[in-house]
Amino acid sequence: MILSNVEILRCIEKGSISIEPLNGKDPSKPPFNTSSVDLHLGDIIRVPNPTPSVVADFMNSSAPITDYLTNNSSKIQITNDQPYRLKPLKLVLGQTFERVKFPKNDDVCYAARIEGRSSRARWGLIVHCTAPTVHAYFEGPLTLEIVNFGSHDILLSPKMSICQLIIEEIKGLPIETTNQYSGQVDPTGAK
Amino acid sequence: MNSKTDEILIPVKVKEGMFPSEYSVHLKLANGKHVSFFVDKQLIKKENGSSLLRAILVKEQGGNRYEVLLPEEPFETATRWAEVEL
Repeated sequence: MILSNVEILRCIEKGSISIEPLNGKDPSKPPFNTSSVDLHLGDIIRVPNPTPSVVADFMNSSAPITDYLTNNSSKIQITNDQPYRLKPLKLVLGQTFERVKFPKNDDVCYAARIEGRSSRARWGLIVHCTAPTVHAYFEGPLTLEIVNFGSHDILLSPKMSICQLIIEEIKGLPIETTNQYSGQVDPTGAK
Repeated sequence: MNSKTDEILIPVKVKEGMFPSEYSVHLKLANGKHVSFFVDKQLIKKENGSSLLRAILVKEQGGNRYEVLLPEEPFETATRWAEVEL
């Protein structure tokens, strides 16, 4: 079931989920919508380098794919004075300014989906490429796959409102363990 | 049944990721396959020069083998479920 704005705030105050920083604690004001919370763009954009001879082979990669992605893209710091100008049909990666956390709880777990904003969508701006799910236990800023499907250039500025997070309670726990190491953080017994 | 979920620390190799908040993680699975993924830096514990990844322990498989839930999906296997040998 999707959490309402009031319930999202209640879960944050209980520590069941975390969104940091949270700009406002009135559920009837931004960043809250009636059934989501708005997130903002961070100040680093990752732009893929033009490497037309490379083919992605997920099944038989000879080197770690993370190395390929890191080595074949450029990191760009954006500011309000120097936003990134996203051309039509171009993909860049960004991250949310906010860190989110769906911690390990023993009674209830949460997951979420990132969705775009209608005010951005009308310009053709999308914020994920078929990967909107934020699974239970996730922790960190959310990575956005930002594409301009419109006809006009779009400026990407730090802290612009770029997406919304829709949070849901998971029915049942994802994992029920029966092992002998309950409460330990490594199998040798170290806490 | 005990419903508590437990964490496990897995030795990994890390490099800087695509964003300042993340590491690129390289991990060898129990079947010998090498996988890579990006994780938030707060999920890596540094200890005596080693990097340890916080993951969810799913099941002890016997010996030194553990079934775990990784915090992110590796590019090479596209699943967070993994078996590791410690």
